[in-house]
Amino acid sequence: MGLLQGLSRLATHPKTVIGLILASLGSCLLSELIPQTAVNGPAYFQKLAQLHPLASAIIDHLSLQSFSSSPWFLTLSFLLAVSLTVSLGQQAQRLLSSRTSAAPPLLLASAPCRLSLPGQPLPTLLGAINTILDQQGYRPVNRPADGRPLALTFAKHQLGRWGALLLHGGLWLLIMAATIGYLTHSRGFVQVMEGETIPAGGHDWLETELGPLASPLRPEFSFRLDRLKVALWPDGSKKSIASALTLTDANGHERRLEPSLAQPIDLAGLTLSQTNHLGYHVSLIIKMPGKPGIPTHFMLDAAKRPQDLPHAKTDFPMTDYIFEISLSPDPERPSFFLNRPQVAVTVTKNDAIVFRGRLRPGQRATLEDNDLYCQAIGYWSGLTLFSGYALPLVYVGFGLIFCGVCLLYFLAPRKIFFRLELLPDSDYEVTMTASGKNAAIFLTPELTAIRQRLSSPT
Amino acid sequence: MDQLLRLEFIGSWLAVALYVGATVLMASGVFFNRQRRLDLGLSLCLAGLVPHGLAISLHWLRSGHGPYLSKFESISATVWLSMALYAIISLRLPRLKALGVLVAPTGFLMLALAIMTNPAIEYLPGAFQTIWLIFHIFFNKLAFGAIMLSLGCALFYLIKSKKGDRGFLEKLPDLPTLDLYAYQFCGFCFSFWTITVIAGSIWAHKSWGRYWAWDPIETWSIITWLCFGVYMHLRRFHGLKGKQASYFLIGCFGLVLLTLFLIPFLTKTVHTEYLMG
Repeated sequence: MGLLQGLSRLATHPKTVIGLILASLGSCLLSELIPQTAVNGPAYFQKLAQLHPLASAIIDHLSLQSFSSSPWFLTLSFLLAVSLTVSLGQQAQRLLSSRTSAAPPLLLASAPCRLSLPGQPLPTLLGAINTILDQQGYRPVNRPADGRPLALTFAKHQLGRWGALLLHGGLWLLIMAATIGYLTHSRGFVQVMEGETIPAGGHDWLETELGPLASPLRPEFSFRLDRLKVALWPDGSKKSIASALTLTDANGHERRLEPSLAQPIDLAGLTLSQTNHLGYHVSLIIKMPGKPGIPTHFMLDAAKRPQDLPHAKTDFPMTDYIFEISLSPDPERPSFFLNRPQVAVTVTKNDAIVFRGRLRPGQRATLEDNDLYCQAIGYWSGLTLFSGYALPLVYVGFGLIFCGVCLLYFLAPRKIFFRLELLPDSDYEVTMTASGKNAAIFLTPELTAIRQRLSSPT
Repeated sequence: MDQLLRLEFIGSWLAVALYVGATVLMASGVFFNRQRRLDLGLSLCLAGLVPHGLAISLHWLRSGHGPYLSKFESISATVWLSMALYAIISLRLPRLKALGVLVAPTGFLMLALAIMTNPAIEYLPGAFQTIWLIFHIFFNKLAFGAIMLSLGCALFYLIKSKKGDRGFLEKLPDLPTLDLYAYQFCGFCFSFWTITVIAGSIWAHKSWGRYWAWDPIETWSIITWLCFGVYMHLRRFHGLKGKQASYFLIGCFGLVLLTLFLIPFLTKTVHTEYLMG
């Protein structure tokens, strides 16, 4: 028991708390100063190793290049969570036992003022004070004791004492959500052409990210992109992007869905989201004599501006040809939309140009001894599928923090202490002090008003 | 539409003129110890909020979205909220009216700068059509307003502790109270900054499927938040106050400026094209 007590005292010791916050701050600063794998590719780090081998070795051994998933940062997060957990327990215990907070009060003292009720008995005087404070929303905490000087305590907004607990509780939930999210997150991206069906099983998903405890992304549904719906602003920027999908679940039931930007679709623990990535596919077939046709789809990213033409250069599978493609969605004017699309194709083989021409969907051209067909030109849409198990925790944490902030600043607990001293001329001298969060901003006007009422003749 | 643009233009420059007038009055009120000029300065600030608010509303009407997309909109809205926050605090705590000598010139300079950038309409990207954006932007601007007030109190503390109660400084609250105000406004900033960061994370998750990507502006915003956290805990547990606390707050304000206005310039972030235009 002694060890536990000692550990919990250590976990919530001010120097521990501040030390952990400073360590978090330092690690964030390090992540900005040291190149990270999330931003820089392997080639960057290879070059770094060549130019600065010692620095590169240190960075590599300490896993500083991916600090957010490094053991030391995870340890730091764990220690923060432990400290916060113990602190929450102590705060809750203190509040439930109705003990006053251990925090030193922020005191405001008023100059003593005279209460002009000469010859009045003490109960009348106390009644006047009670009435004035009651009208300000204060309730008496203690009863006057016999003897002088008399001491009274009034309190208000005691619910606000829970504000700090809610704030820290919300932070704790967010740390838990971040931990769960890191461990169990899975994320995949897919480019899907109009008319294409992505089968169940998730094997077509690119750039899959998996947390250490996450199971592979294997959605049990397949879906087909029926149509990509894009609306543009007058300046050509994207107003809205939505993918009209037909989703088939494991039981074969179909339903229509339309994920759009900022409006993802929840699918039993997974979230299907529309991304900003979209473009065009150019489907070509090369038919060699006596052999089946070789189809391939060239995926071009949409240009940033309508006047720029989407462009791609890549090899054609199972052939020696290099294709350079430039797509014109509308030959008559710059446009994002495929009004009368045509594609300019330049084919090279062994660095020699063997074909140069323009094709429309359905057209055929001769490529040396082969036939080159332009099968289709259409859109592709980028969709993301990710798990969001931690999201409810994040919402609750946000709600707790929001409530905690509101309690701290709008229902800040306040106490006013009265000290009454009977003077030789039978007047009472009243000294007020006050404590509470945000006392300087909210309490000063209140004290001034109470003081004025006490000082005025009744 | 031209009529609206013309009215918006007039409203913006009228606001700048009123804020300039407020600056002159505030400055002369402080340096020559004239309370009446401070009162007039506050009145001009309040008056400036009207055409400024009208200009923001007209821009909102023309663009179809709130003031949070382009550099012009963002700065203009930040100035309006900061001035409104200052006005509310000054009406509640008249002894802090002198903070206007910091808030008013900052306001008119930022607004004038914003107007001279390209105030053309920018269209709202699809990913921005969510309530979390409103939370994120609104509380961010409130946080900036709060840290401005905190900075003002910290600066006044340092000046008053050096020069004593000479002239205008006599009218300011005493040193412990100024220190307390600085701390409490910093508390507001910390709370609003917390909500800003969390709302941004939720929005990022909905839009991009990830809460946090350690983007430079995300990282610097958490660094700033942690600095506020260090300040609050040092104050609470180690009694950090007075000059040390004031210098700490000035450092925190520097971090806020770095995060909001310098990082998008220095490196490419998810906020760059929206903050820098």
